[in-house]
Amino acid sequence: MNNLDFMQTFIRSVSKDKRTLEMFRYLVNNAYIRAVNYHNTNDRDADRFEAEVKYYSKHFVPVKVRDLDRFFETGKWPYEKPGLIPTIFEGYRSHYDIMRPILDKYHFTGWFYIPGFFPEVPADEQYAFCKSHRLRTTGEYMYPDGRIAMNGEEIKKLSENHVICCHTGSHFEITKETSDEDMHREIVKSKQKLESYTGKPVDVFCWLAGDEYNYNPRAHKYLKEAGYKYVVSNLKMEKIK
Amino acid sequence: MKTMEDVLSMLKEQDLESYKALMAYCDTRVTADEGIPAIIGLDDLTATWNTTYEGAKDDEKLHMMMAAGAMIFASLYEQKTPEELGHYPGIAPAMSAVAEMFFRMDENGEAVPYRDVVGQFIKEQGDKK
Repeated sequence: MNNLDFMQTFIRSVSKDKRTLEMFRYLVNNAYIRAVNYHNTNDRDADRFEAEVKYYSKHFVPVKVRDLDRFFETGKWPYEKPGLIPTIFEGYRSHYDIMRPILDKYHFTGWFYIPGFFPEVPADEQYAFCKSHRLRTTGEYMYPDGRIAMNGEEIKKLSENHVICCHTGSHFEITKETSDEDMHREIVKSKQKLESYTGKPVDVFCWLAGDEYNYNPRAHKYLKEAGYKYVVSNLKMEKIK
Repeated sequence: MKTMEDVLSMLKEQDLESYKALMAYCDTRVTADEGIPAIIGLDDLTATWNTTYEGAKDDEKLHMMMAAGAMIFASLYEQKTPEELGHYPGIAPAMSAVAEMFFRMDENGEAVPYRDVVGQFIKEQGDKK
């Protein structure tokens, strides 16, 4: 293949979706952050998770919301080492019992993406809730009392050293067809519920399935009404306030 | 300064087999149980479109390699069928593949893959025995 053929093939493939070139721009412009995504974590994974966090703490710095605020205000990442966010999805109780102590041991900040209404589901209904709301639980490891979600007290304790983020109310995929009532519940009410546990603002909202703020303009009024500062998809984190 | 032709030549000279091998590895990851690395963009919707940023000193050289790598991975993923990609654009799995291949830069200026994290863990487990 000559250079021209290669160029045509290459440009045709990367220009299929505008987000491809957006990501190129973010990388060239130093506007990016590393994340490592976690979902279910069983006790059998604790040693591996500890090794990972130990490694992160050696080569990266933890990230708080105020670090991002400062980055956007000054246009400069404030540390020599890059930032890394362990992003921990779904609000499982095992995150509190297994991951929190390890993160605390290495003084590393986790970002916990929690569906706001999950903690208030009765314990004996949580497994069924997981099944019906695409919350994946794996392995045989389960708590004898059936409670899978973190409770309010655990979320409050977790918020002392870590970032609590809203992952909708009921692990709900918001689309352009979602009703106003559903959007309000999943974006605004869910934030208020999490804040009732933490006693402090929840600044970050995370879509399901990689939807993005830019592709969901009707959600803008609810994100604004709720008072979020950052909106996260699987490709980017957008400062909206 | 390199011309666009130089950049394209550089891209063309990349060993695509190593990219394809890494994509095959990514397909074997258990996303429900494992830590899955990704790079996500940072965008200030309250700022002007042409705002520029200065990154971490340790990433000074790596971010351009990541940018070129992301385009190569995106190009390769876009050649998959829509069924293979799901409803995601090729750039979505590409940004995880980039994080796998260019997780950090070592003291010699070489990119270190994310699998180094797992490798360290296996080594430590072996040392314990």
